Amino acid sequence: MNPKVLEPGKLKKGFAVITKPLTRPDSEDKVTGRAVYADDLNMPGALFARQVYSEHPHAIIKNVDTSLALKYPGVKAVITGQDAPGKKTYGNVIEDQPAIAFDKVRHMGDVVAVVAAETERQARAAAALVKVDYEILPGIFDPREAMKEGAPLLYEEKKTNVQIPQKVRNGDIEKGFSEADIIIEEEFTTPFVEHSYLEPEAALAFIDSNGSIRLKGSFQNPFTARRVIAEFLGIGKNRVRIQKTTLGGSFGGKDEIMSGIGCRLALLTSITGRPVRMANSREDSFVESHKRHPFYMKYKVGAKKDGRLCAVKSEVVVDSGAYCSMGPYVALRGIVQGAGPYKVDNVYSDGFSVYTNNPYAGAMRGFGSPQTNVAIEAIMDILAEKLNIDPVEIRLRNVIEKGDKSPTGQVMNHESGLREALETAAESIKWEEKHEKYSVPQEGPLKKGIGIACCMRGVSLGAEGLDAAAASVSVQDDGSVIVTTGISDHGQGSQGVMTQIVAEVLGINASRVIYFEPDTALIPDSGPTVASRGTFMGGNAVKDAAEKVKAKLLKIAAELLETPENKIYAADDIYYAEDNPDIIVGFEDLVDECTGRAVPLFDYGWYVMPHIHWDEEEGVGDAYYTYVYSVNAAEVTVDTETGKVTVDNFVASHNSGRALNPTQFLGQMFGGSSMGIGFALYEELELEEGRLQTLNFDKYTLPTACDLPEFVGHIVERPDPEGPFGAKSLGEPATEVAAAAVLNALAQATGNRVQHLPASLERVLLGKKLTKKKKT
Amino acid sequence: MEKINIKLTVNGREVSSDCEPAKTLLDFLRDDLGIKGVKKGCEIGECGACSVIMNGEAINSCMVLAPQAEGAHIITVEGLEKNGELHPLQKAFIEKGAVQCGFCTPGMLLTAKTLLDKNLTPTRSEIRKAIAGNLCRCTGYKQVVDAIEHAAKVMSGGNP
Ligand code: FES
Ligand code: FES
Repeated sequence: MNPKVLEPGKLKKGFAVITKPLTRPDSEDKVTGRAVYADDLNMPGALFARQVYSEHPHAIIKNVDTSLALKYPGVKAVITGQDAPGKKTYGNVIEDQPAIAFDKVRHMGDVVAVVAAETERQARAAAALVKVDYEILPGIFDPREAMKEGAPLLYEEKKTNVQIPQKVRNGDIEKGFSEADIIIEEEFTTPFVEHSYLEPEAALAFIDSNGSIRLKGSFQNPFTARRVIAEFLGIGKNRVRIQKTTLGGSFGGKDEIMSGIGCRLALLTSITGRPVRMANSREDSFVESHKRHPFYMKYKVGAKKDGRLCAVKSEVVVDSGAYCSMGPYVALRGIVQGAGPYKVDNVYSDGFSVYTNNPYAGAMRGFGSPQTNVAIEAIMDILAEKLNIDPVEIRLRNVIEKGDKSPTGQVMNHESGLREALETAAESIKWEEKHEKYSVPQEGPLKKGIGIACCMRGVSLGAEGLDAAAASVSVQDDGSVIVTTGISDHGQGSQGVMTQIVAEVLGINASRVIYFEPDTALIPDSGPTVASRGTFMGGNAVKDAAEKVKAKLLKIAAELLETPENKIYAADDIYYAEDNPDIIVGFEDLVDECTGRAVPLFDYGWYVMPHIHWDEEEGVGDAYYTYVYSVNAAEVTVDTETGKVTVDNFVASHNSGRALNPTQFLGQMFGGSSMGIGFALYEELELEEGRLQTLNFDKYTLPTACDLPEFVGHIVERPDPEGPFGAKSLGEPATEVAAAAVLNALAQATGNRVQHLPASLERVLLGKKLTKKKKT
Repeated sequence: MEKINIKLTVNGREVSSDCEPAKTLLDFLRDDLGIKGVKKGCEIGECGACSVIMNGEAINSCMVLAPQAEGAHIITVEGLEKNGELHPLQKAFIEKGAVQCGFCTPGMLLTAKTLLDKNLTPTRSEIRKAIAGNLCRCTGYKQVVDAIEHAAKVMSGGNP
């Protein structure tokens, strides 16, 4: 094969694929209705499963009588907690959650039995015939009460309802307060919040031709589910294969719940020999799924006259509900980031996640920090007001920059970009002019206010656990490319970003690359797609795999072009010598050549997060390897006659490293901001003694297109040396400081600060929530 | 339960099928006709994932019983493409980043089509009002509004 001559004008420098607003590869399927979601699956002969939920928030299961249900027409099997062939419980941190409750029920969403029948209607009718004999136990519904001596225990053998306490200790807190000119003490609470992914959970299980069990469904973390299901069935992991379907949103939600559903369906399919499918209704989803943790926060903050922070002390009690899930790590992240992105030498924080008989809480976009950000950012504004400093200015005086120490004593070796982020956000929302204007008394019932807030976020798992991800890249002999990673897409757009990274490395057109969703039979365990680790971890693994393949291509290209490998440049499907760009070889020809020489254009990539040192005993050190930084600013109008709050303007400014795809980057920003606005103003699960009163979107208010402003986004680009092409992560930072900004704006407008979320009509108007009379 | 026969036109195709009288149009389309682009998000008329166009109006198919659709003309997301070419709204959704998880997308597209069928020059706030019954948890709506605005310009022959 002979190299060709390059057409004039073809030579490009800089990035060819990444940083370009390429459209998402999955979007065509989604706009045509071709994308297959879990509930769209069916198989000939599939049975339908229906779950039976607990009737009490706390009770001993004395007996489950399935005889009537079994006799119902069409019923093929009914399983209970006694039928688990292997391990009965699972959990990422503490294995306390039963796939099917067997000894006790600890919240209303516990599943006590599952019916499989020929039709959905039969399954529902038979499920109503399952009779459970309960011995009701006293319940505990407030984590602050649950911490006290003598409170009812969810797990008798643990002797306490507190899970694994977390702490941050840095400097000398007493000295810090003694140096302070001003000390602020405030309390804040946040409610249970529903993930509200639009697609409820669903899955299908069947027995594969080789006798293994295959599950397809809305699995956020296929590898976690596989482990849990294999242990539940008492079989090898290699006999369980999980394929996730297109996810209709997850935001951290389709995790434990999918492991549980997977166990039940897998057991039913192995008992009946038939495929079994299931789809939760929205009401089922509200009852069974985990929530965002309510936080009960006490803060004490000291500062100098010029606004510089000298001490932050906090105690955070986290309602974990019936199960641990990620509770301790949510508490840890909450307190690690709960002193803000500020230089403060003296920090003393405690985080307690506590069992109650409420629905269980777990990972949700933000993971503990949206809650603590509300607190610390409110206090920054209170300080600013008392010290007569502008809120932007007080933040500028405190923010971390490269070389500074974080509140846990970590030296930050990367640029925070916070100064620029604060300045661009302030300028974009016209801070100076508006803040002054709204500071003076306003005529009429409509009052306006403006607020700003900033935060930092540790990337990926950090102190929360071992962090590694896998990927594979395979070039086919026709020049098309397959990429797979263990990182899954929940709708956030990993597919596009992974595709772009491969194309950039191989110097090819992104349209050559196709991304396959993770399949646990085909790719090594990459851990969960949580903690905004998708781009950073998955991206690095993909880059590693692509670079290994590229090395093989370069070796052959070097021979053809008679140029050393390190002098060859590739872009736009063309490989050429840097010092002689007239002689080229096309990508397809090069692949042909490799095929002819039996060079395997396939490789695995593996990425492990660099080691960090977090001292769990002492509560100090490097909590995460690297961080991202965000600023949000909001302008609101409050109708003081109705309590209605309208967000008129909203600006987000993020340093998340390099933005690999600007359109998607902005999409994450806007979606994240809207979730934060919902958290601030609307969203709350109402509970009465552990029983949910909000079971669907009629009572649970999500922001609509009319409730949200025209978002403005700014990308403050500070490429990170460790990220793939300098990228970090955005999923969570996009959401975690929005509520704080809105609440700060609201406080300026009304002169009253809402410290117990959400800032619903009555809280804005009356300063408190109207509570219904307790039933006697 | 006694089944009744329903005749209707779906995406230009005449269909006749026996159906339980209490079945929603949503379940009828998904389970009996296999049209899976219609999504189920709440079943109480709050989320808009199940929106379809019935006789020119966007409706929540979970709030209509299948027999009520007797003789009706229904358009679902599968019916937007014409001769293998995407509808300008579909193209705009792709281009403007209006699609994330995509679960709200079919309903959103159909509601938008009903709007543009009546008004090719909507303001952004008219667009927002039109789609207020279609919840999206992923996008914050901005890029959805961008897409609809863009499609309107393309369709009215203007310069987007
Ligand atoms: S499923 Fe019909 S409106 Fe939600
Ligand atoms: S794109 Fe996910 S709900 Fe709209």
